[in-house]
Amino acid sequence: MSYPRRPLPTAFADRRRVAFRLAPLLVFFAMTVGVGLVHAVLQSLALAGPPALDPARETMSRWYAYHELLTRPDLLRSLGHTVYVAAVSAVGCVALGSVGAYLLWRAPDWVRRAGAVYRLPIILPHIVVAFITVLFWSETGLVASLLRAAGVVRGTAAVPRVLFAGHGVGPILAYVYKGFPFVMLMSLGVLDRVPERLVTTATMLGAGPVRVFGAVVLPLLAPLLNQLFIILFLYALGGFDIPWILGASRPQMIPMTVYALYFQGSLADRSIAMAALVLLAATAGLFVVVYARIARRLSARERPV
Amino acid sequence: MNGTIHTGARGASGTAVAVLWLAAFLACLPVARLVAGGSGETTRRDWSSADFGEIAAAARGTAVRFYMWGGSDSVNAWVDGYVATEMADRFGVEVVRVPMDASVFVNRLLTEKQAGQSRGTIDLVWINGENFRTARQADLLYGPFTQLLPNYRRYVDPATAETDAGFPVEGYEAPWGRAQFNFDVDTARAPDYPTSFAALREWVRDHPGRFTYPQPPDFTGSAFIRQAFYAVTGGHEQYLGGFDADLFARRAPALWEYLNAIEPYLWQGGESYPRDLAALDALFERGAVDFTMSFTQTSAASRIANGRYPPSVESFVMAEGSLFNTHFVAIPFNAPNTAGALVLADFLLSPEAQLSKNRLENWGDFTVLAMDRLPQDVRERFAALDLGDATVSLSELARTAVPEIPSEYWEALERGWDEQVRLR
Repeated sequence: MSYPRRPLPTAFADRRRVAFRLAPLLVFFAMTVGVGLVHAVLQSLALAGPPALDPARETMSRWYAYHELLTRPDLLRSLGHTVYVAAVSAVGCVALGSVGAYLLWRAPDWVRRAGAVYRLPIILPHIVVAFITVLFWSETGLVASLLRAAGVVRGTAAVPRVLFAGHGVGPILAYVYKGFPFVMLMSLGVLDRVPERLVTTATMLGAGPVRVFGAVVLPLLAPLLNQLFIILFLYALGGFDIPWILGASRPQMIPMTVYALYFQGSLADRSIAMAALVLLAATAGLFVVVYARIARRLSARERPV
Repeated sequence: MNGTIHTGARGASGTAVAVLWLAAFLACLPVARLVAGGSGETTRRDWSSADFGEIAAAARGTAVRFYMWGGSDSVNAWVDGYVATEMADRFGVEVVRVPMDASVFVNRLLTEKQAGQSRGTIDLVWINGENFRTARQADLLYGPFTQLLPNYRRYVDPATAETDAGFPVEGYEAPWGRAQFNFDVDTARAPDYPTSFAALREWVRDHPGRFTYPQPPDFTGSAFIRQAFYAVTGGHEQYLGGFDADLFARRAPALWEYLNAIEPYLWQGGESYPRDLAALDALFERGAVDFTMSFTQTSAASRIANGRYPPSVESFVMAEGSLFNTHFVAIPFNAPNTAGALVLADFLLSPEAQLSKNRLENWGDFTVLAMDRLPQDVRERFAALDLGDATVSLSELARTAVPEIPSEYWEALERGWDEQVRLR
């Protein structure tokens, strides 16, 4: 597809033309995502979906699903746990990725070249990353075997439980392992366009590596990191594959809860599953709006400096 | 519509936009179809008075999509190998196995029914218990059809397939195998293994982290708690007369007490349960736990034979009883190839297929055919089957066999487990 090269359209007419050209895409999104979302909302209110087999269902209120969702402590706890796992994972990815990118950017060329292996997890599917995590961290995994071989622990029962425990470390490890190289890759793309003299000047003015990172590199990366944080957080919020392999039974991550309610529960549970998805989508939307607003305010405050 | 758009834009980009519009339009078609409620193909034959020769003739050259639980490699290999080959050779029918949990395809059929989709994608399903009840109650199945199958009429004793977990079958599903619940233990790691639920409680306490069970509503995990329910509440007989909510409310607390008492000593301190049987099998193979369980009587023996388990693995059943049930195949209301499905259901009931299925190296699943209705030579071949040293003897299996209780209890137990055990 080739489009004539010309200045970006700014006039109203041009804008309309762009909107018109994008329209097929928008219609497609509206039909797929939009219809799906509307259908989910309808099902959560029992306005669509299978005819209830449970006669008691007929007499329940429209808001039955939301009422159940908000009054069952386990479901709310699931939602809270999922937000926590997603947030910790995204923070971990961004922190590790940005520092990693900075170190690699400052490193000599040969280190950079050798360091390129960091990209490996980017091409691995999430499910593979989940299995790698099991391979390393399970009670019979590599780490436990090494600890046993070194005589640090005896027997499988004595190994500290990393996976499948209520603190969500398993999914977090997997999400960080999968996500931080992505942050590194994107950050290096920005850093490679940063003029060397910025760092040189800072160093000449007496800044150490930590100061350079905080005062020079981080502000340059901030807009990118904000976007990456949102992307990683949202993925971890709704991702199914990693919780499926690594999630604990209690508290359960919300995608697993939704799956169990929808496929393994009774028919009345399907509306609760849909309500949970609607709430998850609302949480995601709210998060993006709030985060973007905070990020904008912070960067506006920094601008005059 | 496309014409106006084309004239509205210019040159190469105009063509591109037109192509995009067309693509968007095409992409929306399936969505629109789903919303509108599917296609209206209703001209399908009613086979209810047909003779099997006609059905087989209509099935020739077609493909049957067989939706079934895909969690066992040996079962999958038997269907893809023996069944597919024989069906192609004998009837010219292609068998396409699609792995899917029963609860998932029942859900899909419900959605299709709701959308009025009279032509679905599923021809035959492997189903039983609560999923069959749901499917029947929502009228998702074609039938009755068992009277159309020559092998059913000839070799099956209808009394042995009258009900499925307390729900009347009424010809809407054809039996194809009998399963009995077994525990598998590695006797090298747990020589003193318990053989009753009472002893299991003590054993688990003395060996923390070495036992667990799949998280209900996994089929096997759900069967495990059902058996424990029989064992700790005074037997299954009291539940056979249909679902009794009061009785359940009185009896169930003893089960929750039992399961919560062992929980701190389970794998991972009971903080997590394996999500399904495959996950438990993986833990067992890795040596993380000493027990697994199965609904195939010969599962351990066949896995020893193909090297997955060490020879020290043995199957056993609990003294209080071991669940015994029949599994079935059924045809969805909107199956696109009913004739092919009927032919496959009949083939699965043929003495040859039942013998092949019963072989240790294939699947080891027990037959549903009535021995006294079979010809002498076939009966002898069944008697001569080698079921492996690790398998529980047929007499012990018969002595401990206990039936399924009505499937309403299954759901009540699964829900109760979630509230009283998982979330405690």
